[in-house]
Amino acid sequence: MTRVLVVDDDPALLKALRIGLDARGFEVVVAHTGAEGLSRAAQAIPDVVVLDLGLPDIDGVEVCKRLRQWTEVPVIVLSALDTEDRKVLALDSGADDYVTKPFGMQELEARLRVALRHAAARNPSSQAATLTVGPIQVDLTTRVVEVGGARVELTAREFDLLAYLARHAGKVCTHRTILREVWGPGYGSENHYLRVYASRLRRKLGADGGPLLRTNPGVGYQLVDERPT
Amino acid sequence: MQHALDWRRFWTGTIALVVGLGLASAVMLPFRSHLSVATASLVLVVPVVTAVVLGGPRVGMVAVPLGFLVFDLEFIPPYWRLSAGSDQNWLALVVYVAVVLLVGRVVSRLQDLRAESARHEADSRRVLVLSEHFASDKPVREILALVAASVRSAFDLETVALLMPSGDTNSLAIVASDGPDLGDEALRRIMPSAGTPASLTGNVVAGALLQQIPLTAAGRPVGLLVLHGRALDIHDRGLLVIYANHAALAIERAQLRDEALRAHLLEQVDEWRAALVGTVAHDLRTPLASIKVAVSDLREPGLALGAAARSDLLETIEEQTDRLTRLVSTVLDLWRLEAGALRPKRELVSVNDLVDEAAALVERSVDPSRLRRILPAGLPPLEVDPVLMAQVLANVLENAARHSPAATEILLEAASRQGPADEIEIAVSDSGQGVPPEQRELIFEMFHRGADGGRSGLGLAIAKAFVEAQGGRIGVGAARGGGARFVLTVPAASASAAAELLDEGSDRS
Repeated sequence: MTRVLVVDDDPALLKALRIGLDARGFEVVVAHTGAEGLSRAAQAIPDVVVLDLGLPDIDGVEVCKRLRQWTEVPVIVLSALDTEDRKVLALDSGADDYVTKPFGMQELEARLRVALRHAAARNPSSQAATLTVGPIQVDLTTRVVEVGGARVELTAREFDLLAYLARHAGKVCTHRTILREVWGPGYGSENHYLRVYASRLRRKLGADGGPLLRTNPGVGYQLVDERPT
Repeated sequence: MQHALDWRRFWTGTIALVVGLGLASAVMLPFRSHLSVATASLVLVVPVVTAVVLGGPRVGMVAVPLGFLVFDLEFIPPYWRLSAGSDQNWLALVVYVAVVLLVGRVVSRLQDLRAESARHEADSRRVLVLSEHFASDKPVREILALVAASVRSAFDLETVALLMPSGDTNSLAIVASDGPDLGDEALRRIMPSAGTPASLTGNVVAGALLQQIPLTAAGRPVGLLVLHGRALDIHDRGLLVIYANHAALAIERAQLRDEALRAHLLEQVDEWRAALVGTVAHDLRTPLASIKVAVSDLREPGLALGAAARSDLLETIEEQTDRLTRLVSTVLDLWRLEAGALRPKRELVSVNDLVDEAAALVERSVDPSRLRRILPAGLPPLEVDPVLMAQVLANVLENAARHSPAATEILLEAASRQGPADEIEIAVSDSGQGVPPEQRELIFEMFHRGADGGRSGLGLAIAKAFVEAQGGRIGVGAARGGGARFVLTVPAASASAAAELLDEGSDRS
């Protein structure tokens, strides 16, 4: 059974989430504070963490950082209006995805599944020479990209961008992180570069591959293995 | 007063003159034939000069002829006649008169100088005192009153009024005044109505002079000082100009300071508003999040929800909807209160009724069985807005429930406090972690994030605003068991009002 750790300080939301996730076949562990969340994460070893950013004791971003010091468990942060600006920080600190309050259970479940699937795919193949995201195959040694078996010609930068997103498939990669990792340490605020490259990449990946590259306005990009519903 | 003093001096000098001349005559008369005329004149200079020194120049006018007469009649032969006999005697007489006149003049000049320097000293002291007053950080209103009062006392006037442009009509209005009110006649002169010529300088109104002096700071008109009372001489006018300049600067400085304070306040209000919007948004979204999650579960076909889970979700929805409803109406009340649209009513309500009302408001979030009431019999009723006050108590109860372990007791006590105004204290104690001393002020702020059981959100801030709008207070301390103890202090009804409540029962409206 998949174990979810939910960290939120609102007891009503915890209760509703517990019932909903329970009915969907998850095993639910709850924590009311950041400190409790960190210790539960160490004891219960969850498969995925749902983390509220507006925690009373330790800031959600900080909880994220501390989790990342020892575990690669996927983290989905819950942001509200007053924590909206911090969700990018949370993503930069290692969170995989975010959901904005209020949200429906279907949306949360979809995000959970994506995060879990990519985490499972990421771990064994992290050293592999070929990354697979849905119909997209990225060969890191020969730098060849195929979509559904058909070869796609990419420039060096386009390839680097795609390879980076494929390596972090499922995770929302923020503008700043992508620019720094793909363009180099001197970059970080040139969001317009990304817009141009992402739309070119989407076009080249075609009808099958293109929609898998998702834009999170104001936040970043995410490569997922299924088309948006 | 100055006058009376002058006359006293004059008479002192005159008496000294008469006594001195009398004494000198009495001593010298028996031997006058053995004395030389010059000796007699020298002796007679003494009482005359003494009189002038004591009595001032005015005495000199009496002293010189009197001394002359005494000298001539008594000591210059032929005696008792206004003739001087020999030429030598004439010379002595002339020298005597010249010496006396010269001494009198020098003495009076000296005295004038002394008086002037004393006056200067007094003036500079007055200006100094004034600038000390003006340099202090006082609000405009106080400075204005100070200007009027100090000018009136410094120049010994009947009434001093300070006029300034008022609001948007651009007409002058009296903003401060000291002394008896200016009459209608004077007011008409200062602020003539249409068709009446405005003339002020040298106007006599009600037997006293009406004068004016404009106050300007750096060329900018600040106001008009209107003086009613005695006429001012040139010296006073000069001093008044210095006064007026000082006052104008002080007023302008105070105005600027007030403006700066107001700007700062507005800034704070803006900040507070922004924080309020943020907090309200958070507090509104939190119940919405639970409702949305629960509803989306209930609506999903084929989701295996047991009967218990289903009812739990429905309960959550109802609870959170109540929470939302209460929050929305409270926030609306708060804004109406702030905008002045909501005036707290003042009604008599018993502590018991109030507690019942509050407990009913929060029965979903605060298990009624957790409440233990210690309400002594015979408490006077409160004089508050029952709806707002119940909300305050409800928020405090909810806070206590949220920050203490489930099923622990929440203690509700009330006691009356005698003071200048009778008050009632209502205390709510929980057995949670308590509030550390350094947080005890902060937790009532709009955007405070609590250290233990979650952010306090709006509840306590609203409680504080509502309680203060009704003339009460709220504070927090430590409960006996270590938890938090919130104390509401609210005005109690007066004894007569309480008796009325008992008499009229439910008839009050």
